[in-house]
Amino acid sequence: MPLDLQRGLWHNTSGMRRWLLFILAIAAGAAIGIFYGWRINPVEYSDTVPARLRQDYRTDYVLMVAEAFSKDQDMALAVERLTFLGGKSPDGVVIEAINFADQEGYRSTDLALMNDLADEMEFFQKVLETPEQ
Amino acid sequence: MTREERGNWYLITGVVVGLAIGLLYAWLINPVDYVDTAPNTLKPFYKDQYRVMIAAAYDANPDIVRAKARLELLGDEDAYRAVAEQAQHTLSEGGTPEESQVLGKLAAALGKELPISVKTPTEED
Repeated sequence: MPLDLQRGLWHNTSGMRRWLLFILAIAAGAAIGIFYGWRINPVEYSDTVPARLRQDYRTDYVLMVAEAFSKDQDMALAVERLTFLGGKSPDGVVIEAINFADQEGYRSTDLALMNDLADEMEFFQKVLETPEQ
Repeated sequence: MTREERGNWYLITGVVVGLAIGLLYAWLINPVDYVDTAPNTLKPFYKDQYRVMIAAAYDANPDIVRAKARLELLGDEDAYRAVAEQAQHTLSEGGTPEESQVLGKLAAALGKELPISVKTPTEED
């Protein structure tokens, strides 16, 4: 009897051990799979939207809008172009770009163009907010 | 087949099952979220808009080096061709005459920059 009991216990322990190892193997496989899928070979996006662009590209885009605005002086078109970047309001996008450009040491002429655009936007906003008499 | 005969195959099965679960999670359920993308990953529609913006900026500030650097970001194999083709199609695809004009101007400037290959005639010609 004690022998049987011992044998049964051994079988039980062995079974449990096998299950434990099986679960550990699954966990190890999952960890490898996640590491491979996130780090080594992550999903590549090829159809992203402008709102996901990195800040330096966003800033350059704002600079392009400011350059174009310096010539055409078309505020409606500038605002429309800024909405391309999505997310924040157009004036917020410009302020963000100016801060980044200032931080990264952009040329003073480029900064001036973006500041002009920001000033004009502020002016237009005030004009729009002024109640008609 | 006894448990001993089966050996440790169950461990390999576990790893394979885990690997499948891991890849399913990493690629489908919770894939890497790209937040700092570059212009070359944009949808073709947005790339066209970006190209128009490069052309409009070039129209205001004719700095061809800057325009070319910006076009490179879009990852076109042939930037000149991409701009020239867009200049031709933009009107039929809902663009404005101004957009077509600035794209044409940029394409012309890029065309001037292209190396001209001159073939020297030989006796065989």
